[in-house]
Amino acid sequence: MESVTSTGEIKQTARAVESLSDHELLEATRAGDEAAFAEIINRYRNPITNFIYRMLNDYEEAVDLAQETFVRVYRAAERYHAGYAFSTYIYRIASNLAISELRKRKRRRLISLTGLFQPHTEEGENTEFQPTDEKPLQDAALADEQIKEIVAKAIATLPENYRAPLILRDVEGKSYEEIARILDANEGTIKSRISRGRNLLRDKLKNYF
Amino acid sequence: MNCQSFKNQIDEAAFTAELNRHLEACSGCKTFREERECLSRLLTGLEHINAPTNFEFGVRAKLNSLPATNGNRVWIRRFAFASPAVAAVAVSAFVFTNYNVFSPNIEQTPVAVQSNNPAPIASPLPVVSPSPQILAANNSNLSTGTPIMPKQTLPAPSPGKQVATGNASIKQHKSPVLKTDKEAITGKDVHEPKRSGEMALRPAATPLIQEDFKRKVAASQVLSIFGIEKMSDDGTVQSVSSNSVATEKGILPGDRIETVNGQKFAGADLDNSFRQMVIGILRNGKKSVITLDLPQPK
Repeated sequence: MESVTSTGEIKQTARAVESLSDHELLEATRAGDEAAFAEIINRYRNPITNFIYRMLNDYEEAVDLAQETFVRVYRAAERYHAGYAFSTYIYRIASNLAISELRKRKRRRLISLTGLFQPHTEEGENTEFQPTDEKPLQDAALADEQIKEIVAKAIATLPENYRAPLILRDVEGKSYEEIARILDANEGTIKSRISRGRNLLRDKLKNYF
Repeated sequence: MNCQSFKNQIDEAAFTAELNRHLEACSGCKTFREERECLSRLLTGLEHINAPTNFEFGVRAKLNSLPATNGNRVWIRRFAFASPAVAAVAVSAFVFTNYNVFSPNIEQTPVAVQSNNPAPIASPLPVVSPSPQILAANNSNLSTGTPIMPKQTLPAPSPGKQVATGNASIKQHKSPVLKTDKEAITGKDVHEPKRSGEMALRPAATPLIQEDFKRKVAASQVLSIFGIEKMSDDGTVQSVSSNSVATEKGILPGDRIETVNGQKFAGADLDNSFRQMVIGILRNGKKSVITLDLPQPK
């Protein structure tokens, strides 16, 4: 598939790669097919970037960690076993990277002087979220953008053990079963965390209902 | 089934006929359902964030910037101790093959330099022991109070021949070693080279010069017994000690000794008969012959 010599062959190769499943693409990547790896990137770059962005609320960092996710997929291709879905595999890598980054930030805040004077919730998570007043905004479009920004900030202030399952469920639309596999936890635990995360988010965003 | 169970069903979006009937009757669960629907609208209203267009390029760049693959790291771990071992073997081989360079070996280092303190075995210098006559003369001078001659040890290679020693065969050069000659004549300590490299920098005297040098030194040594303390290389007397045989016989500084026992001063062989010496002197263009007898110990 790599030795394409004309436009027609390139299109044919692209179609051939697009028709492959995730497992087949990873198998081809393992065999040295760079086009297959490019197709994996093409399929998952947006969902992974979006997921990490919702976890961190930082676009630059989200892109960097999403790229790191694909780097790890490529380097671990030899060790990959098709025991479960590839999407579960890649989301697990992405969530681990995002949670590691959140913990790094938390440690940085703990050792910083300003972090000592910031309020903490009952969950022990630092809350930077400040709800706005209840006055309606003049521009509906501007209001919509601001609400989205507020929601994003509210998500980003959730504790990490609630944040990841809630994003995977309510933003990414994953099933409970898949979320449990991604986060390596029981399905009941995931349901409970999602419910508690929604309750926290409801309290933060009650002025916008 | 209580309200919490129905709320869990609402969270899981598992709507049943029983749940719908409960929602119509329970205002709390109905409010809960409305809040969940509002929250869901807010969350699903969030725009989907896409990766930048150069995303794949960034991935490739990160892959290329990695130092080594897992396989390479395994290889590096496997041979982590190989490079020090190879280095140790190389150093050992170098030292073994160049052992003769670093260790002085008397059989492989021909040197035409004499030493006052010859080492018996390890010295790189071939040493000739002083003759019994010179030792006897020295002992006699101890009793007479005359200055003690330095014990000279002379190399004795064959003139005009290559000096083959051990594995090395070095043809000696005809360049005189002035500094070494001066040291030898004045009786000062001659530096003993410790390494062959240092010895290679020291030019060796020709066999002929070495032979003449030996006899000159021997003649000057013997003549010093008779009171002629200092002589130049051409045999000119520079100083004569008082109360000596030479003074008694009228030898003066400036006299040039041309012959000793009928031989030229430069080539005189003094090993056999130096108890009585017949020397030919040239003074102010006139030649004269003086017989010197070895002083008797008192």
